[in-house]
Amino acid sequence: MNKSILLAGIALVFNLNAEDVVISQNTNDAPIIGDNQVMSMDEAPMNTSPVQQIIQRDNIVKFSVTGQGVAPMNTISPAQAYALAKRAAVVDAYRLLSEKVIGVRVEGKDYIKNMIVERSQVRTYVDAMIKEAVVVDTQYKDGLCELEMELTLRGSRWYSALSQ
Amino acid sequence: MVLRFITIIFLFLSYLKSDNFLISYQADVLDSILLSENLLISPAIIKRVGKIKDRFKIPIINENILKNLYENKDILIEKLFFYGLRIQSYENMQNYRIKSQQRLSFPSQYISVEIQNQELIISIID
Repeated sequence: MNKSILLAGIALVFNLNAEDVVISQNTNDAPIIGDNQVMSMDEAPMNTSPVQQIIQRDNIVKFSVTGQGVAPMNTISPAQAYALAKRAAVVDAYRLLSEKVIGVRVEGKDYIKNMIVERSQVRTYVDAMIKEAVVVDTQYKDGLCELEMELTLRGSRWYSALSQ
Repeated sequence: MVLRFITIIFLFLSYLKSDNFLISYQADVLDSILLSENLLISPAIIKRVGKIKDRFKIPIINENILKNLYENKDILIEKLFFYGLRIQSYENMQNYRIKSQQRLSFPSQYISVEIQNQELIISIID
């Protein structure tokens, strides 16, 4: 009884009615699928990161990403612009690496009122520790810095830690 | 009282003479543009004894070791990135407009500094 009064109160406070619908979807991470493999969402193992699905005791997995960074408009010299753009590119490259290795948490929310989408929101979130990544190449052109980064995972070293 | 005073002086002198430093770093990126960068280098009060993970040289630009480390921060940071960092990324797309925010940081890391032949030899301590 008390619960229903409380819920009614919440509905009044947030001005919700029967026509308001909130749809939300959570996907943990996307499995890595080879060219010839087809894996449905039901078959994909849950709560495993992409790297857990491909790393074996005897294989070497190499991840390669290209991070991009832009120089801010208010720089005092081209050298400063380059340094800042490069740092942003490094951060972007690490983000892409962690997305590949660990996966992305995705949260989607569509707010529909009177059969019209009022607000569409997609949030992605990554939180990871990365070590032993190597910068392979850096290119800077027209204020955009592109940085290629590689991470090599040896199964002999990382399988036991990552397969848990 | 006297003993306490001597201990404080001793600790202060050892702090000044310390060749061990603690480094921590944090960078924030908003929409692919570097928003802020924070590098903190502090002389360590307690000397760290541990396994040396890596050793590299940086040129001496300034007489002060601390200033030297700050001036060679790019070399220092890139070396420390290799030994592990934390990346946090948030992307929020609302009505098909995206806002992206990333934070890169590494926890405090011990380094030891020695001067040899007009070069600073930096050792990263585990």
